[in-house]
Amino acid sequence: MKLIFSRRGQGRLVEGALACLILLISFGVAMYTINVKAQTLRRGFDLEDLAYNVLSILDEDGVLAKALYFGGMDELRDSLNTLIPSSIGYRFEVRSLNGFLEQVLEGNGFKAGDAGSAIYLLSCYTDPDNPRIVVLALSR
Amino acid sequence: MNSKGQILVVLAALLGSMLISFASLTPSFNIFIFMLTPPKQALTSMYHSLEINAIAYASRIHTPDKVGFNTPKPQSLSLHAKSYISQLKSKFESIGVGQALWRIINVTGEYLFTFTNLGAVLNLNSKVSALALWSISKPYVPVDVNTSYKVELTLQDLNIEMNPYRYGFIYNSTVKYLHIVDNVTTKYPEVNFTAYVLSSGVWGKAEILRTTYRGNGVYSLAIDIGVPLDTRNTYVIVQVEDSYGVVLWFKCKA
Repeated sequence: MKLIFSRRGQGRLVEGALACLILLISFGVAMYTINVKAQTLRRGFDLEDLAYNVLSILDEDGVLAKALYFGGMDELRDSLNTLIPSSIGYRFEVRSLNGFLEQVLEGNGFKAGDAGSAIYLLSCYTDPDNPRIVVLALSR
Repeated sequence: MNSKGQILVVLAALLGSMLISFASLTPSFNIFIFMLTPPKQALTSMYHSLEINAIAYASRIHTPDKVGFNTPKPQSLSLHAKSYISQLKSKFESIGVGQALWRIINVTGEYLFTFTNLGAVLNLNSKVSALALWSISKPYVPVDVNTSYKVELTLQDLNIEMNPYRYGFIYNSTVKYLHIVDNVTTKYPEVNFTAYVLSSGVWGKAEILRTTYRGNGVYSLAIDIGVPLDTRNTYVIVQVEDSYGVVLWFKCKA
């Protein structure tokens, strides 16, 4: 008791409180950051999942190979518009393996910020030397 | 404040800043990992697509108008299918971004391609088939992927009859074409038929008068084979190309 009411004791109390305050504020900021990041991440994951699903469906239906190797981009655009809800913007990119952008399709007011994307590799029996990278980016 | 108290405050500040740094860095790290690891469904689709294309590539190496009576050996077709995968692998390895792409799809797993009876003279209910099996697991891909793809063409029924419209013969054949995906799902893809008839030792295209789809992958064909020079030794080739580009064919002796 004597220590608490003494100047030295008050100093210790202030230091302890200050340390606790710093820890609490840090913890709060950390939790807030995690929460904000997790929400962004979840939104991104949802979009990425959707993008991967769309690419898988297009590939299994043969629409991707037809569009990329046999010139059926109109059919691909129709399929994208059918599979992706109108509230979600999309950007469909076809790149060569060295990253050169070959074709782009955009729709539903795609916004580059806050987008989730899926990367897909595609090859075709007609052109085994020229596999392509397909990127489908989705935004809300 | 004395020195012990200052140390306590400094320690708290350090711990706090570490907490904040960790919180802000961890999700970014997760995003980075996720970008390079597609979900299992997408991975399986990519490997499946490679399988189908390897089969299509190999199956198109020999077509009836390019070969004589000697049909391709199934083993050579398997090698062609494997060479398709090898070509892709060397392509991925040759470019700068290969290592990043390698995490998306890795072409190093165990794969097997088997062709049976392609181009052989078939008996009734005999099958021509192409099979691809692919198993790839950690650490090459983030999740284990096992996928298989099989196409089967079966000769079910055939006969030869006089052509009622002009001098010559019609060759009637019933064939069944199906895809078996992962030993479970059976699909009946769109197919196109081409027929060839051997005349004077040369394969020439024969007109398909009628193609009737009977459901469940079964088609009836009526092929105009004209007047074969040797009616006792009439051979017809039926070639089927599906919407994935896979070509299977067999010979029939009418």
